[in-house]
Amino acid sequence: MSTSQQQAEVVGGKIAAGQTFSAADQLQLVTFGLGSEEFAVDILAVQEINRMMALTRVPQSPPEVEGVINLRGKIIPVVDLRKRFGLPATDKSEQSRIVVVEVHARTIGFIVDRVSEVLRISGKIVEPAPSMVCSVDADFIAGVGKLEDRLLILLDLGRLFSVEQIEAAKAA
Amino acid sequence: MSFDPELMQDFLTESGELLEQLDQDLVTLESTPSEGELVNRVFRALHTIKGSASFLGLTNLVQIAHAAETALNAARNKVFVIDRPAMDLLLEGVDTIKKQFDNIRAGQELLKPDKGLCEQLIALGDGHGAPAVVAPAPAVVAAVAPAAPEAVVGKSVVVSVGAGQGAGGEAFALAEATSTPFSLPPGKCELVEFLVADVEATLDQIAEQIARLCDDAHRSSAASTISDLAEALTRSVDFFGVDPMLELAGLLRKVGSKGGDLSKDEAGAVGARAQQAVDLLRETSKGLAGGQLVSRPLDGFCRSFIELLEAGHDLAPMVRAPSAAPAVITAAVPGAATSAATAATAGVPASVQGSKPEAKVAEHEHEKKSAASGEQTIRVEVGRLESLLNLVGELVLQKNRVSALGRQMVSSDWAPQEFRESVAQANGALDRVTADLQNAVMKTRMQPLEKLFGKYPRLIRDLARKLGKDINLVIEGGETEVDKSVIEELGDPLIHLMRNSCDHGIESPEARVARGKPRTGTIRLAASHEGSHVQILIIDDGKGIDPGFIARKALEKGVVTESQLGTMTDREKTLLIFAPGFSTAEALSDVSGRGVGMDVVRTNIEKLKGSIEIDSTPGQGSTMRITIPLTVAIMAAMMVAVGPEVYAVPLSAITEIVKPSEGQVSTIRGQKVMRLRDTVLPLLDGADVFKLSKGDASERPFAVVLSSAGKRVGLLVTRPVGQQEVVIKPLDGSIDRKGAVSGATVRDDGGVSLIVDIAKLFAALERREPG
Repeated sequence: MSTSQQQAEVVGGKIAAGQTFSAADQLQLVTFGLGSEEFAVDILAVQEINRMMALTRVPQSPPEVEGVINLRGKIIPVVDLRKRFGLPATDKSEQSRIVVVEVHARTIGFIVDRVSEVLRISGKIVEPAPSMVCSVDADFIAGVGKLEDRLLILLDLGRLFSVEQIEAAKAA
Repeated sequence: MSFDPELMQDFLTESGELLEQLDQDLVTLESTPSEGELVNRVFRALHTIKGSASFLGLTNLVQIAHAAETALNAARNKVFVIDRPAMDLLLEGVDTIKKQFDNIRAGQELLKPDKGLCEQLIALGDGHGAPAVVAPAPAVVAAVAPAAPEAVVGKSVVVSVGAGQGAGGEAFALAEATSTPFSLPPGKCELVEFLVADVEATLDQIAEQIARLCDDAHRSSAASTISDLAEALTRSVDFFGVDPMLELAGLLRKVGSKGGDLSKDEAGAVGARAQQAVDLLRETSKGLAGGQLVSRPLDGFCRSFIELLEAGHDLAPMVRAPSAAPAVITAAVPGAATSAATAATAGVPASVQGSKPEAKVAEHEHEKKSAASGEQTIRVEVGRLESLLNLVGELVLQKNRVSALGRQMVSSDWAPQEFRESVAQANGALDRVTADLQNAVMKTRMQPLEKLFGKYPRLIRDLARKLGKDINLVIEGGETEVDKSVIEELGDPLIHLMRNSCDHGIESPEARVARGKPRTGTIRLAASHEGSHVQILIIDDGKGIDPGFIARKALEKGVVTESQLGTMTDREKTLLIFAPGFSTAEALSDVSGRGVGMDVVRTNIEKLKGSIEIDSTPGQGSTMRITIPLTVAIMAAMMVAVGPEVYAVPLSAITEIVKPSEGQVSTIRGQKVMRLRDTVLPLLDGADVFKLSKGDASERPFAVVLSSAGKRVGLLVTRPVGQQEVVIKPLDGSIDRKGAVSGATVRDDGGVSLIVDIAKLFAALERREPG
């Protein structure tokens, strides 16, 4: 197993904040939407994408943890990404999906408004994140992909679901 | 440490197991010091640890193991009898080894072992007169060649037993030895002396056994001993990394494994060769001690030796062997073989002969059986078992869904009657198979309680000595099996209870005698199956628990108030020892009495969905009764609905479910309570506990009555759904555990239900009460 693959398993994809991408990097991404913005995560970190299902609420869990689901016998937490990013809550729709990722050797699901596509882009169109690009904390952003007609925000899953982040969320 | 981590891991696992056994054996040995087999076992275990450690270059570990081994070797040779002070030293030695193991595990450098301890241990062996291991029969060393023809004759005759000291067989002529300087890497240099001494001692023992090999009566036992010894030898020799030595040791192992099947004549021949191998090894190891690698070309020797061994019962190849090898026979001392032949002609009473082969056969079968059972266990990573269990749990869920669909179909009428019958049958079969499968998988995780209990004799012995008490520990039902996770969780509470019994239960010998009890106190640790539960009893014949004393102490510590005490029964007073912050030790000791003990014990046992009870008769002793489920992975639960959610409540905590009428419920200081028969039961609203939207309280008309440690509470729920065996699954770490849930489970319909944590529920109740 190559190192990059190993890393992908551990921290959730090889896309990390502070990283610069060159033309040689071919990025394969899963893109999804939250409100009017479009985000992307490394496909290597994504385990599966599910339709919305009934969640079981857990008393006194961090606010962004929407509940737990049964993923083939494993109980995993599901985070509402809107709450995580501090976006206004909306009702779940037919398009809502639970994206299941593996980060830090943990399996976590997060709810997005819609999943768009699987995309292969070249590293040369990815730029480091400007500090005030969108509603999302710049810490979680690995870069911005400039597509012909739109911008794609590359998320650093490792940071987004890092243990410290979760602790901080708990404390808040 | 630069060693292959996998090798190191293997070493830790294997030697770790040996160490555990060592502790137990040593304590048993103290009470039966003359038990020869036990001493041997202890010795071998230490020897194996030493051998492996030296292979890995763990100098400090080798030194202490060597010292302990030296002492034991002396004991083995009856140079001295293991008494208490000697045992203290030995146990200290084993403890030091254990500490070194911990250090290795923690990835730390090994400590230099206490010089004094090593010296004392060695002095134990040497001081009482060096254990001169019986010298090998010299006749064997200078074995003979021309005896072969006679031996062939002898084969047809029944061979006598008496001629055992001699060995017939030819020596293999060896080429000149050459010496080259030899050095080991610096880390290993310090060990050379040890290892050489060790190899030599082992060789002496092997030589002794080789002599016995010629004796029909002892052949198979000698062979198996040789096998063991050669195994140990291989380990020690491994250290030097000298291939010829390994080869020779390997040959000796072969001798061990084949030796039992040899006829007398063959044994003689093989014995002679084996002795030669021993001598060669001696020569090499002597050389190594002096920094010289003495080597001879051994190909011919080894080849002919192997031929000789493989030849089995056919003697002919054995005779041919020497000529096949490019060598000249040089030694030819008549004697042993001739005497064997003479003895053969003398003959032996038939009756004696008749009984021997049978005994031999029986012994063989036994050996074969034990060899076979050795191969029937494999080590499996726990993770794999866990995922297997997970999959089976999932399978059961899916089966439940399929079964439900099948039942629907059977009761409908759109399918033909015949078809519906087949579906019903298949459904039933599927049910049985999955249940069996689940059971079988659960069983793979079962381990005997022996694993825990084995540690206690040592613990009790040490405690008793420290406290100046005489305590006898009786263990029963160690073979009772429980789930691995239960074993892990049960360790600490049990140790604490045993300590308590020693410290607070059993009186000093003087006090016991004064009360007309035997000087030696007895603690009985008994385990048994009780349905789907395991019951563990800890019974001591000590002074018992005095409720009045407990009550006074509890009052002093502020655990209870005077008015609370007034309403308490003796039984409730006794149970106060489980209250947080309660400790009765008059002087804080390092044995027990930090005031957290019993509270933690109870919590830990309740975590296992178990319970603990105390029966005590002042002056006569106390009994602690622990009841735990066989497994913590599956639990019987009552599913209850609270609003839209369904929760799993451990059935073990439920005493009853009632639907209080309006008149029964009242409010005291803003808290809901209900009158249940003659008692007042505090109520907790499920919606509060699980932070659900409150709605109308009348939506939760049922009260699930829960009890824990003598306390009770009613949990208000919407309705009971039904009883179910649930597979307990952990919640992800990111989910805060402040809530009163201990895990989650998957329902029949695939949804997730949270499991109610009874301990946390009661904690919530206590928080509420003062406010």
